[in-house]
Amino acid sequence: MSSSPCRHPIDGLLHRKADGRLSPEEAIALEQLIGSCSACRERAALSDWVGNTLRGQRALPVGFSDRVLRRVAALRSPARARERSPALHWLPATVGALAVGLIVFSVYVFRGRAPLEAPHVQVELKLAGDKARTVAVAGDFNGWDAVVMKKGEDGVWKTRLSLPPGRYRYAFVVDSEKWVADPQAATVVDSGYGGADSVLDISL
Amino acid sequence: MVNLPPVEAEDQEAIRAVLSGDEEAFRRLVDKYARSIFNLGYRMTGNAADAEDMAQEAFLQAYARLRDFRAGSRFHPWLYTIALNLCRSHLRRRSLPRWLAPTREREEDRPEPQLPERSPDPEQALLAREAEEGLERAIAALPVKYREVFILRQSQELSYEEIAALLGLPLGTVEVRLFRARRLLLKTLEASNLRKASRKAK
Repeated sequence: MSSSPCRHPIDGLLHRKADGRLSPEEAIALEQLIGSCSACRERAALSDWVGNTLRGQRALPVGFSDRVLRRVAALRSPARARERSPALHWLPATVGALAVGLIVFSVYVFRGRAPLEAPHVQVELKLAGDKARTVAVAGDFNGWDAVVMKKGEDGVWKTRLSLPPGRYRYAFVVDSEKWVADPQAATVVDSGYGGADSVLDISL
Repeated sequence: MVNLPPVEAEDQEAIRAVLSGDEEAFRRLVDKYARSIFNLGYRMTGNAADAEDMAQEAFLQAYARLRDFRAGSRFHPWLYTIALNLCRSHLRRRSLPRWLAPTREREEDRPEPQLPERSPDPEQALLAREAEEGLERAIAALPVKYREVFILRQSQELSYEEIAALLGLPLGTVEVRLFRARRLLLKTLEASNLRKASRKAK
């Protein structure tokens, strides 16, 4: 049962009504449409119903704050966040004779030379995987849009990022089918998708 | 020193306490903003389990990055930005093509405790609930760029200016997206059976 679509200009009026900024003239115009056209009347009723329904907020699941605080207790206190993150001490791993298929990852960090706004830190992500056809990285820093990395002659996949300080979750995607977390990352967290995400902590 | 409204001053006080090592002070911020962040997640993802995960993660990230928070600015919008980014990541990841998606499915959504609605007529309540679920589905089907402005305005009741600042968009873009979101939603709802349900539920 689909209503016969009318061509009345009601959408703009409903839009402004929903925001509570209908002018007196517009209010009259809206009343006239509602009074004369059944399709407009239905749409207006629906619009009001949507507005009223969405204003109601859902109750917070019981115990939410406790669950957050329990997880917070396991984190390093931001009061001590100025200490260097262990991730920053990682040096580029000498990726030499690696068993084919063994995946190794290293982070190489150095300070950006001429920071423009917030100082950025250069990070290089590496993943050795000679047998991999493609390796991509997806994470908070690129909105989880997987970006394919470049494979060097040494068989190591690399990508360089310039990031402001912060905590980033990420994972590799090998051969477009397998999510791989970094086995050496300082922190690995449950991705919530049946795997693990690596965590990259960048501080200055 | 700028005089902040009491609500903001309270937040600053809690943040200072956390930064000087009082982890428990973080609970004050969680208690205060959890509902709003959870509801944002619920409207964006369309389910309670994802909303809880997102909200927990948002607070954890806020905690970990608390030192980056600019003292004197407002905590809520800052927290909001973190939460919105998490929603976007989540939605993007969920929409990864099958060949890119993780192989194992996530565990079933946890059942949420539901209190029976106080209604003289259970059938009415059921219809109302069905209509609401239809609305949630229709919102979840909106493109993300429309969905987020719609939810921020309609459910979270932020002003155009706040939404523009939060999303880094010009005011005009917020207006256009909101208009399109509303029109699209109404058309989707009209095409579904929801119209009938919402009328009966009234």
